[in-house]
Amino acid sequence: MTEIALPQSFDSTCSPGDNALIAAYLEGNEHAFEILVKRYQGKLISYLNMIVRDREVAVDLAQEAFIRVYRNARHYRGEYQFSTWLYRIGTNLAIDEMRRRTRSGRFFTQNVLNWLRPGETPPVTPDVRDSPDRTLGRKEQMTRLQKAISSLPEKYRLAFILREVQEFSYEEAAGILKVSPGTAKSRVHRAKSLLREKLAGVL
Amino acid sequence: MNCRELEKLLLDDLRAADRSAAREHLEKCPACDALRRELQALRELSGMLQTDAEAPDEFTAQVVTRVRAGSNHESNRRLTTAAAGVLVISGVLLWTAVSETGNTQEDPVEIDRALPDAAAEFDMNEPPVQLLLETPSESEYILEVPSRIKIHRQELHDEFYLTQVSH
Repeated sequence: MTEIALPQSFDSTCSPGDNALIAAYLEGNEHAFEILVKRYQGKLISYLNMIVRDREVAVDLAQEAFIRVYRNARHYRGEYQFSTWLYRIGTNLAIDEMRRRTRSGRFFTQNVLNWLRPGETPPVTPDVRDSPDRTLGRKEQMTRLQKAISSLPEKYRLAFILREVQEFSYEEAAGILKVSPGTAKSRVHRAKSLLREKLAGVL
Repeated sequence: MNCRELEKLLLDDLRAADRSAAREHLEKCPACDALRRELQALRELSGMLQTDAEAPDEFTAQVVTRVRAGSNHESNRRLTTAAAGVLVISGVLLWTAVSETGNTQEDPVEIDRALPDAAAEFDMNEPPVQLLLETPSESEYILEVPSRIKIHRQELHDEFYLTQVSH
């Protein structure tokens, strides 16, 4: 691994790359690891929440993913992006959680309904340009989109979320899912086709 | 360009090089134009889904606390997990061994002492079956048991996964 010297403290002008932070952490700079956590915590929680549909569980799984990164950092050789590695760990944890629920008899649809409590709407970036009528319609669309995504088969759902929501490239999504880029692409296509069917009249 | 080709391009996020040919087809084909609008709407909606949640204030601190606690107790935790796994399996083997040999035991027998006695009841030259035991902490163990032993999964705690991997 390339050795990169980092200052002990980081100011706002210093934005080291992920691999540099890993290298610094392995050299004994624990602050570097904290920076990595802060850099990815929000995105990872969002991603995991879209899969497991339970924010508390998503937070717990995200913490577990970072703990595994911490423990296994010495094995990371930088042959793929750090985010690929982190998200792969998170994805596996989420998949295990879903399978554990299936064994325990819990169903995801219940979690989706619980998540959407009366009066609550899915988190949406507000668009102040919309008229109130259009905004109301858009909220309903978002609700239905969330439900439709949750109802997709796992392999299509993961590929779609990574590519279309988290905006990874096909190559990055393929690395996370440990499939070929072609397979990742075909899964995203299939997800889009299924979502079109499920959201007929909504889009 | 036909409808099938255009659908493939649209699903793949139309590239600049294909737009001219696509535009020509879209002007003549209402069905494909509807497809284009639906996929565009899907993309816009998906882009509005939250991608960067607000983590709890203490998230980073909790991660650091857990990793520090874990590094001090990691080896003990693995031993504990291994021991728990062995105890669970021992319990199952005891139950099965008792059932198959027809013995009845009126008094409860301690699990960790019972296994050697149970194993002695079987011919260890029989071809073993390999079982993969996965524990809640993601540790994995390969167990080799005589093929006549039937592991009853309901005896295991829900969080242990047991899979037969070979005959």
